Amino acid sequence: MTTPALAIETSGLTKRFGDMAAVDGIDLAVPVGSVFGFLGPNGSGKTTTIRVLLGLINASEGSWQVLGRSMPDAARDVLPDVGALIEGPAFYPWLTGRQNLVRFDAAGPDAQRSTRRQRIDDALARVGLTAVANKKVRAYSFGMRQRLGLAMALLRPRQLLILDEPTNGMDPQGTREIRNLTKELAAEGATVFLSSHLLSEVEQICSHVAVMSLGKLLAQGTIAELQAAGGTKLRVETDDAALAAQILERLGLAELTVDGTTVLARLDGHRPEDCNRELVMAGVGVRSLSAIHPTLEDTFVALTGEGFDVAR
Amino acid sequence: MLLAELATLFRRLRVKVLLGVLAAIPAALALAVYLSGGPSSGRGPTFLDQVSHNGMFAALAGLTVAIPFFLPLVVAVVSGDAIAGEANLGTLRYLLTRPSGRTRLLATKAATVAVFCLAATVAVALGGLIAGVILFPIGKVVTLSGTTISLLEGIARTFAAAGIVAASLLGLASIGLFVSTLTDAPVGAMAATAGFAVLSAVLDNVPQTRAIHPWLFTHHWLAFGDLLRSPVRWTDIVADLRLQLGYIAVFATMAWARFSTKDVLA
Amino acid sequence: MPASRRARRLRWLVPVAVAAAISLLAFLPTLSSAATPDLPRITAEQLVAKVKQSNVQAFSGTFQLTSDLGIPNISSLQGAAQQGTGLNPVDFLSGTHTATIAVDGPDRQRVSMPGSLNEVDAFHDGSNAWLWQSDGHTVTHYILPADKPDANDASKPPEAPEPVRTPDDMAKKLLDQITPSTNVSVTTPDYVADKAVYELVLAPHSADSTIDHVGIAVDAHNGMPLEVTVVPKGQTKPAIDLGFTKIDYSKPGGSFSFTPPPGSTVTTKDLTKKGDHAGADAQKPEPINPAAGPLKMTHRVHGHHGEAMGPEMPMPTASGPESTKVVGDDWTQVIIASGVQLPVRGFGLREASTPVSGAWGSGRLLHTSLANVLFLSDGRIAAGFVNASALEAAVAHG
Ligand SMILES: Nc1ncnc2c1ncn2[C@@H]1O[C@H](COP(=O)(O)OP(=O)(O)O)[C@@H](O)[C@H]1O
Ligand SMILES: [Mg+2]
Repeated sequence: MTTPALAIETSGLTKRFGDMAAVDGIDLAVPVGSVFGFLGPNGSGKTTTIRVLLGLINASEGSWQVLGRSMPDAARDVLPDVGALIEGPAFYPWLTGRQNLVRFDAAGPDAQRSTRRQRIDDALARVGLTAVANKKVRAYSFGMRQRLGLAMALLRPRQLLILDEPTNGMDPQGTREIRNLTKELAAEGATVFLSSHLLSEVEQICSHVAVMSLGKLLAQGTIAELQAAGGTKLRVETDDAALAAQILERLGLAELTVDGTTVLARLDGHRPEDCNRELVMAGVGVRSLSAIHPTLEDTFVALTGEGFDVAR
Repeated sequence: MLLAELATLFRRLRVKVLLGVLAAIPAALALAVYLSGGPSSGRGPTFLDQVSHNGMFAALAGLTVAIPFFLPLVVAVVSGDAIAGEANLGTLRYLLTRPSGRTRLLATKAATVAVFCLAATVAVALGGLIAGVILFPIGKVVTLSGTTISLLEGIARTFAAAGIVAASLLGLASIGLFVSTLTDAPVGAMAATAGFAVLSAVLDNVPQTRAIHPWLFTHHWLAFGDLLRSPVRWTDIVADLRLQLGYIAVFATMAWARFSTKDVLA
Repeated sequence: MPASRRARRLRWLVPVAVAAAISLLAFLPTLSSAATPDLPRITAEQLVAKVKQSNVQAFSGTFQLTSDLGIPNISSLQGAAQQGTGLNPVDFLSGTHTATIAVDGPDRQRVSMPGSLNEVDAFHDGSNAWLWQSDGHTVTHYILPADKPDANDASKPPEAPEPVRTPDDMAKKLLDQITPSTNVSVTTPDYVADKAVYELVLAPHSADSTIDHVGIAVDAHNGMPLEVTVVPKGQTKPAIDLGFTKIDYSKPGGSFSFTPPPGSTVTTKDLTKKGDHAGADAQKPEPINPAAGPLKMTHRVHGHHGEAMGPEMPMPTASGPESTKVVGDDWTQVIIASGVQLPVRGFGLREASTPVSGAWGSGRLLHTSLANVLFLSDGRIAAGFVNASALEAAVAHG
């Protein structure tokens, strides 16, 4: 099998619950080797998308491929290479952590029995659960369960890891560990598809981002591409703000705002040096002039319109 | 996969307790007979009046007492929990992201429930046998036809009877499995399954519904006793097994049609 | 993906197909049994003669009694009767009862009636008869007199409760009653127990009779009656259907005598001695010698046959009638007995019967689709296969 360029590709993927489209015709493209942040407020359809991707629920419309294979038909061939954590971990509370891993490993025909012990030990060590491996999961804290869930996703070497809000409910220490683990996995060559409603998380570890809102995919690309799409702004400090605004408007800059001695406007491809020349030639006293690159947060807010509130 | 599934089931405290209670039923019966100091006067469940003569009958008395109510209840609990319980825990979504396929998972569940049915009836038989051996003399076994068979054959027939009872419960178990695919609430599935067992038993006792009696899955639940006749009477046992097979065929395929296409949202 | 959704819906066709296949398998035999055997036509007289000439000496088979008398509250009757022995007359008023029978001449017979987790067996080997009841492990051993007055009746020891009769027995009795009161005909041939049969139909002329017709299926080859059905007026299904489901005319093997098992309570009735026949004093339970078996068995002192029947036991012969008389004839006969003490409450009769009154007095009527029974307040009981008004009329006259 030749390595496909995209680890996940969807076209027009739609899932309706009754009348409401929880996922509304999205076209995702997750490049192989990327750490892909799937960003969106609560209820925007991230988990639903992941469920469809893994074949847990039927799509209403659209088609999708995982690791280059059409799903859900190729599930048997694709799933061994996919590790997943979906909407929080789930275990049998009356079994120990290790017994749980054995149970899930044995649930698929792909897992080799002879290497099971070793693989489980490695996975437990990797998430730092070796010490409590023989305790009943009933006695685990939420963070411990989340780690065990990750261990489950890491029971075999995976080409793709789908992690749905993996740091949910974890302490800062755990969050940091997960972040490092994700980076490690990516360095080993796995594609990581990480959904989150936390911008900072995505910003810190992801190479690519997609933004969901109300079931729609608003934007996707590398972090740099998205920032650029948000629009660089020009900021001018001057003694004659009104005149400066007039000149900039004539130059064709949009979204002009005047606040005391400060003028803000979207650059939209204009060069700041050209603007500066025009202002000076018109006799505007320029105290300072700078191009401001937006943060991802600005982009996010601009795209979703409402920030991090639950959309519906 | 089946082994892992069985290990998961039988490690559960709830399942251990249920099996323990099942084994305690005939033991309690035997103890009651022992303490009252003699055979009850021909009343009460069949086989019970024989317990003080031959402790082995405690196993059969236990099966007779457990089959109308407790065994179906226990089977309803375990079969109703089969899929709905996994959905409730959330483990279903992780089982399904393993590349085994839904049909295979369902088949494994069905096999596990069947093994549990056998474990449940064998628990009753064993509990009865052990209590009977401790409390009473044992020896040659008098059949319902008034003939005498050796103790060994009597015990063999008792365990065969436990097997027949387990098979008799498979129809109910497949109903439970189907109901279990309909919901994410295991308690609801258990209650509904137990409800079906009660409904079937009630209909079987109402003369107005005589026409459908042979079609009720509880109808031949006492057929296991025919193993204790000489010659063994197979008519009802065969009818029972055929009926259970019919229920299994219909409800297992319904469970498959439902489970293999349903949205797993839990 | 509308296509795959359709595919998903199609999966439900699998259980539907399975259910359809199963019902087809279940009902196919009944459909194919609609075929009728190819037999020459014969008259009713020829058929009756065939039955009279019938001389089947040995056979074995399974026969079934299905009764549906339409008693409104039969379950209360059954509940009241449940506490008795395996042989309960009330049990036979509803449902299906199966028995196996093996007959080898007039001297060797055995009947086995399996119940739900119990069994009643009767054996007859010429000079002995045994009745085994698994409930209570009781054995009644009859020692029979050497000279039997009625060889045909010997299969049933006089006192052994034997509510199920073999079809040939019942049919012969019925045929004897054929009188001008009856319309006798032969219907299309059929199969009973896989044998080709002619069916003799006896229909009473009287409008008062509750019986529409009695059907007797007779083996076309040897004249043995194989099935008797009684169809009440206004019904198409028989209220009583007694017939073989399996029959084999070869000489049956197996033993016709019975060895009481260890631990059972044996009552011996020696019918060769005159006194024993009536006196209950002579019944002595005979413990099985513990040393005989490998087990230590305690002798069961309780539960003498007869003694266990407390006053609440629903035995129809709780106390014998002072006098009986018969009013009417043939199909419309009504039996009136006076001075019968029936434990009405324990019997569950109150629930099953309705109060009635008239010029003749008052009482309670137990109505079934075949027989009507009137329990009068003065202690008389009237019963017959006639409708309620005919029964009341008979009481008024008698
Ligand atoms: N089983 C369901 N039935 C109906 N609506 C649902 C169901 N599951 C999720 N939804 C809805 O779909 C939308 C997307 O949910 P989800 O994918 O869980 O969002 P996210 O994971 O981004 O927080 C939400 O509005 C949610 O209410
Ligand atoms: Mg979510």
